[in-house]
Amino acid sequence: MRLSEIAVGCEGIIKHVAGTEKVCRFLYSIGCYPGERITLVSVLAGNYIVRIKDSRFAVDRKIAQIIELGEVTPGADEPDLGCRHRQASRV
Amino acid sequence: MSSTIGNIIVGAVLLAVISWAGFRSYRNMKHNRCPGCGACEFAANNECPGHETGQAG
Amino acid sequence: MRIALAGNPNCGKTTLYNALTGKTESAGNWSGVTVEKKAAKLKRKYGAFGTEIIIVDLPGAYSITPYTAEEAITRDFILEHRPDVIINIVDGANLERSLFMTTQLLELGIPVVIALNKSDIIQERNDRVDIKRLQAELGCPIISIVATEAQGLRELIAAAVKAAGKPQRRVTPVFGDEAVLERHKFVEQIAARAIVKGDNVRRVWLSDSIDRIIANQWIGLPVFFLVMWAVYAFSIEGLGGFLSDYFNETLFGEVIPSAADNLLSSLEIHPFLRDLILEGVIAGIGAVIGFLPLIMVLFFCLALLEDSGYMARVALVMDRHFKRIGLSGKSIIPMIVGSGCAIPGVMATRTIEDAGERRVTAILTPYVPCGAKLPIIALFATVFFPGASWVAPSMYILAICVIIVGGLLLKKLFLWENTSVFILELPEYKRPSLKYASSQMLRHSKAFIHKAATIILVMNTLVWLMQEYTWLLQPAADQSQSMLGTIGSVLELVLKPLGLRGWQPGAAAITGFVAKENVVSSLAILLSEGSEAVLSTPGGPLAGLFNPVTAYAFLIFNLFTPPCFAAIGAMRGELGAEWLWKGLLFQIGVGYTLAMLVSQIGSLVIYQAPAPGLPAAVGISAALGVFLFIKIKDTAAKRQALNLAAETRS
Repeated sequence: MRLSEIAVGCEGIIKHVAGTEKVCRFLYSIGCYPGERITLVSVLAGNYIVRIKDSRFAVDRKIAQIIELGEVTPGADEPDLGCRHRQASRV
Repeated sequence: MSSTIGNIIVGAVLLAVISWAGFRSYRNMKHNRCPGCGACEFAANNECPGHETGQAG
Repeated sequence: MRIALAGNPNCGKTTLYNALTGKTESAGNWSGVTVEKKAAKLKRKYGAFGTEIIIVDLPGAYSITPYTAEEAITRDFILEHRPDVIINIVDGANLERSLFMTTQLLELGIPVVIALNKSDIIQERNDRVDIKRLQAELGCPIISIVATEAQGLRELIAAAVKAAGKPQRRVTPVFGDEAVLERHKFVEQIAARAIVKGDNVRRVWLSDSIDRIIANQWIGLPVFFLVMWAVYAFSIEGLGGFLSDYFNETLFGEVIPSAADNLLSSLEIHPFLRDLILEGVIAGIGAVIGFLPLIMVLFFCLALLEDSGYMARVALVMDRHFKRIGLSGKSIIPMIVGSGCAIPGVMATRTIEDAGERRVTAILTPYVPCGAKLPIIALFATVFFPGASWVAPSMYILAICVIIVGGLLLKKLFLWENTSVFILELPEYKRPSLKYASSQMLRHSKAFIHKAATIILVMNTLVWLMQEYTWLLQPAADQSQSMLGTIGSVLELVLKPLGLRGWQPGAAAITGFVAKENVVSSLAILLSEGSEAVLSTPGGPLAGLFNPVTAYAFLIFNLFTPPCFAAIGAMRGELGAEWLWKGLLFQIGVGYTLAMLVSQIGSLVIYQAPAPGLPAAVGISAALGVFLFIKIKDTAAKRQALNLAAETRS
């Protein structure tokens, strides 16, 4: 599933980042690399707020769509969310 | 006090102040392209090796 | 000896730099504040080591292999200039991530000393960091510091000096540029062994909850407008304005001029000198310095706002709107910097990767009212709209609207595509530091006074001379025949369609290109002969030249046409010659047209009477409309052709 598709509050392990080499390198350097846990905190003003390691980043839809997640679980903070995922949608 | 001496003093002070102001403006302009903006991050007030003010291009 | 400060964005490098060198660079709680390296000497109190020590502050980077322009500056500096020692500031609140760059720095061969910053946050969160263990794993000294409290700095510098000159021990494996994932795994392992996390959930939840309201899709923009409204209203119409009124009316309106007048008269000073001092220097400088309290209040508030972490949210909120004009939320950062001074604002556009976006941002950034424009805004607000608190904030809001509409126009007029994406770190909200806000307030105050005492003083002298004497250096019988008068009269024709009468507005506006504050001081000098009342009196000398509608239009003209020469120079640096002219033409066009429309339509609507120059205005509007229509169509056609060509190729 892609980051742009999971529900708010859910977290997942990153499986693959499908971007250009430059974008991948940058995402890797902020902690967004395969094997790392990422949480979708909220969706604000069209941007996806994520928690990676200890910090929060705002990424836009283009980036959210290239982050592919492996297993997705409801977040530790909001256990009852049940992970209702959004429909995959194109830009 | 004779007005001549007063005039000379005042005139000299004025000239000195304005010249200083002009000189400082010129120096500011050379260093950070801004004739007076010290709020600019690029104010150079010591000659530091390795400090480059924002040059064009 | 050169010590470089390197680390992640927003880890506290600039705060440390300020503490170590005594400088007061902007160190807000958001990334994108530092865009250029800066250097200064270490303060004596942190140790005398025989040789001069220079601290170099670098822009933040997440990694040495650069993606952004800021990261490139860091890498280039380290590789080319080989500092003697690198102090790697590690953000205690983001320890594991920070260590990624640390391991890269350790491979360069230059001695590294780690400054573990934000140790206070580590304590608050009950995280436990085994520093001894980390030192052993990484092979370099680690000193805990709290940069905002200037704690631990002596030890830090001592460690740095001790490490300088000795090559960095290789304890960590060398990964190089390619083995990124392996490097991450290695860092994870080290972190697991040396760091025990405490409980951070509550603090994070607070920031998130605030964000849900402040950065909300629907409320975000209004909240931003409200915040800026409050800041500007408080600074210009509220406390700042109140104090400025005292300065302008009493201090510089009565006390100083009459004292000077008495002194000069008693000394029987020659009228030339006396008039130059009273009507040139004191009138001009006084008119500007009177606004110092206003400047102080505004920059205090802006610094508080910056330090809280709100600015990153502004970028987030504006991203959606900026995407519509081909930019991303990152473009708001230069504009926020520009609310202090447009020069560092324009230079901050360097951090935008896409050339087209960089250009557009550089052209639009000067539209945000800079500190120098505040006296103009405050003057006209006080004289023509006394008691109304909407005028000053409206300029800021108008600026945002003009930026959006202008951006849209630029997108349609010129062919370029935006490719950049928006990724921005959102720092935790923090209680803004009064100490920091005070230091920024003082910094800008000093700069303001410095500017008044130098370039404004020089310009005032020049203006006074040019309005006293004709081109033949004879005393001008009528001010309008003086040197400045003739220049102003030529400009009067150009400004007619704006409904402006008289030669003074044009003359004053021109002096604004040297420094925007000059518009105020020039008007003060030009109008000081006629009346006793000080310039900023409602209904005073200015009322003879403007009415509220034309005053507002004149304000728009000064704010939305090209900025001062120095800022234009900064634009040239980022745009290059060709785009500079396009940008300037665009700015002139927008400022002129907007002022014209406001003046003419405003006069018709509010006074039910046309302002002077209406026929010309109509003509110009029509011509402009046709021109824009044709150019936009043309660009759209070109874009079609390009897309078609791209499609057939693929």
